[in-house]
Amino acid sequence: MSGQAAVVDVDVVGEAISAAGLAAQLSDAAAGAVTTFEGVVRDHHEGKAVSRLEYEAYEPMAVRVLEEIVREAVDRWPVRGIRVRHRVGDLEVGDVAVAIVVWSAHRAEAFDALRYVIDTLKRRAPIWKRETGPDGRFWIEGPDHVASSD
Amino acid sequence: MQVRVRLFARAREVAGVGELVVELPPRSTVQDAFAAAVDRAAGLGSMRAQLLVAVNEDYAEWSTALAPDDVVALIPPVSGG
Repeated sequence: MSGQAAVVDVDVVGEAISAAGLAAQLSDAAAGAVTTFEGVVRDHHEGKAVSRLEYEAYEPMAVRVLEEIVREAVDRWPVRGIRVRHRVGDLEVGDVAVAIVVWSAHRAEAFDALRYVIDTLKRRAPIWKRETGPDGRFWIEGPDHVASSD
Repeated sequence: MQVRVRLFARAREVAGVGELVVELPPRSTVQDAFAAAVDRAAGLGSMRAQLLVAVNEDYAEWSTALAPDDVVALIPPVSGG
């Protein structure tokens, strides 16, 4: 480690995102490991067919919470940087909802920090999704599906 | 004092609006702001047990004291990622 501060870069955006796009911006000769994650809209959720998802965020707070989570990760593991993008708006099956890249000198801390960021984001970031499928529209609230009225 | 109550996801759908401005006495709490919101949008009452709350974009408690022009957010169970 060079001792320089780790890169912390998070945002919530309305356009298409990809982990490859985030990783392409890196140029860090000290990074021996680059781990990436994409959360992708799949065609089913707990036995129900899904055709599309709408993501909604409390945007300024969501960005703040993502930044807090990433700062916790860089304090805990010696990584060189973490970038996170979460998409909002209408997404279809196959679209990337969240993209994360973590880079570090060695792989173990990159994997651990990446896992921490995605797991914590899912529990803490003020972001919601509503599923649309043949059975109608449902808010996803943790383990619960609650019918949407509009 | 006036406080803004922001509503998201199913809470917004249940209330039919994304924001309510409520008038509260001094030394009111998040719970008081919620009660004032329920007065205007009764359906929110049954969501109480599932909601988290934030004040000025930080997670807070139902007992958190409010100041004039604070922004309270009602946060249903999150499902990002």
